Amino acid sequence: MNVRAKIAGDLIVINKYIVEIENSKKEISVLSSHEVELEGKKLTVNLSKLSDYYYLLKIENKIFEIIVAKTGEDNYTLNIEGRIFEIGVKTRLKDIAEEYLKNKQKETRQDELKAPMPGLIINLKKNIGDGVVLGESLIVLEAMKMENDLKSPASGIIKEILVKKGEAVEKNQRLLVIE
Amino acid sequence: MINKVLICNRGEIAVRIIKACRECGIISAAVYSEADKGALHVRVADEAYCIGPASAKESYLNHEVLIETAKNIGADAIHPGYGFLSENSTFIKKVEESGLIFIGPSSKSVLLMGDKTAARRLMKNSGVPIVPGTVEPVSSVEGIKAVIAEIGLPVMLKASAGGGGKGMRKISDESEIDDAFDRARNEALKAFGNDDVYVEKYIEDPKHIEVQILGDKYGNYVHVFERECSIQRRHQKIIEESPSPSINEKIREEMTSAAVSAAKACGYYNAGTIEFLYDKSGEFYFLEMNTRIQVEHPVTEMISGIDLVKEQLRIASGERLSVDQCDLSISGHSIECRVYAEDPDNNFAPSLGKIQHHRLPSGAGIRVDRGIDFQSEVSIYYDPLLAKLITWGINREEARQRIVRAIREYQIGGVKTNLHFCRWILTHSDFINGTFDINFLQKKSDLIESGDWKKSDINEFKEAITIFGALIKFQNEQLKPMANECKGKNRWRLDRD
Repeated sequence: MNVRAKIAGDLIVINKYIVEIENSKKEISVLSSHEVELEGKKLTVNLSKLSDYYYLLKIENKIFEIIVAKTGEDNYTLNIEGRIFEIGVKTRLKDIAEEYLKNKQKETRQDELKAPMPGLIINLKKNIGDGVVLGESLIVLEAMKMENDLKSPASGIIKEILVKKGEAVEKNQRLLVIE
Repeated sequence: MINKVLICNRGEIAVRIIKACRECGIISAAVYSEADKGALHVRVADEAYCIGPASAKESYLNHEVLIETAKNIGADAIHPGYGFLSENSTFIKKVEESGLIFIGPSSKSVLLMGDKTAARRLMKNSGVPIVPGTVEPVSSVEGIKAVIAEIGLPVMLKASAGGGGKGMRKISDESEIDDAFDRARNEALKAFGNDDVYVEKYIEDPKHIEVQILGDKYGNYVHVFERECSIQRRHQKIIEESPSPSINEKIREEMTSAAVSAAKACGYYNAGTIEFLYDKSGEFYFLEMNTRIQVEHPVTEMISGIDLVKEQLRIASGERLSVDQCDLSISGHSIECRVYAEDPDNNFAPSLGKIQHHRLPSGAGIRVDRGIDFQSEVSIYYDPLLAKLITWGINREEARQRIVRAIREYQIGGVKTNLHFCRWILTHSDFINGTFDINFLQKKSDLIESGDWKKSDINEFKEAITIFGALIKFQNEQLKPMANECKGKNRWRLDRD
């Protein structure tokens, strides 16, 4: 939630964000568009948007050119000095709400196999009702002329198969459900 | 003399060939599929012709349309680049019969070398060392078993018509034979239209070293030294360099003269590459011959000063080689990395989209061969190679430091690339020390799959990333209420947006 206060005519937003970098979360407060607080330290910052994909970030006196390789609603793939990072950004409130929902869902857990890349289904190795073990090859997906084994994300029983042999699939499309 | 060339390819190599044509005063005509309307090779060519739909089968691989286009537009020659039809002897034969010049070797040489088993027979007879295994295709699981009984496990199954890692399977255990045989044949059929496979002894942790050769139509040959291409992922090269840090002058001498013998044995002309495996005991074995210009040809150009594509044009026009062996020497060191639109953090899945930001590295000793520019589309239809980043240095360490610096400068937005992954390899102690082999990445697969290879980077940039994330969200949210305030006031203005 945004907490806004008008001080001396300026709109000051006191706001906390959760930034997730490769599975580890960091909390940060934005005190104003030129000041943040991170791990108890107040830092003078400036972010200039040069284009939707190109930003200049200044932290105290350090400069970072930041390229956005890919972007989603709450996700960014950033290129900084030739290094690439996937980050997710949420307000703290949203993060708390999502954690709560996630824990709720865990009680009735199903695992899905999703397509890691766009491609063509070459082979389905299992049928509905078959037992599978974690890491077992389930589907052969062809992408860029290479055959890729898609492995089971969990041990269990195949509940649903959502694709057919020869079908073209998009990235992240659900392929099958394991219970 | 060649006046106009039809370039039957796309991407960076088409652009590369256009540059060579332009320097030689030759008109360059590009071809493109409907998916490639805005591609860089179309933008920079003198002329461009649409040859069909996105599917390569109906466009870049369509023999009849390509030859007909060449004839209709008054081209005298066809340059095939690499991949696509470059090593398709049926196509080359059709080009020869149509009266056009094929900028490459004769269909006969290609046929001979394209059949990997025939090539192995020829090399064996010419005294070039080959990897132990069959010199005929195997037709059954029983046949494979018989070979294994003779040479032992592990072995490789390879496509007779193959190359580029397609249709290749390793067999470490008898139980894997059935599946490997099926898969190798399947991939081979799909990639090459021929499902013949043969068996080769698996050489433990070799290096991949190849020799560039040039031959003209008068029987003159030179080699342009070697390239080391051991850094590979699933048999696809990622980082190449010249000269090889792994061999001494004596091995270089032996390997390059074996390469010239190999080229002579098949009556080869044009640019070609003889690939060798170099094992730990210092032996080398003929792997295959690539009868085309190679992706990694720039590193050879950087250390020799020879423009290999221009030599191809000269040779095809019936001129003699521009150099003798004694004119050639190695100057400095060159390293190339291949910039793929693929995601190392997601099992190297292709990353598709439009190039929204593109800034090239520059400065001394830096070269970029590329097929993309601002607003280029990266689609599922073709190979995800976007560009090649090449550096030259007075020695290997300078070339290496330079390419690491260039990676920092090379900015691509809109798709994800493997550049940060290349950077990790290039700064790895094994790469710095030259202590790597073709299984380097495979041996590091745990580190790669877990994402742990990025850990030190994350620590270095954690603060900047966190602040960026928070600020961009903060700025975006500040914009929202402003948009709401405008609602209902100046509707006509908003509607126009």
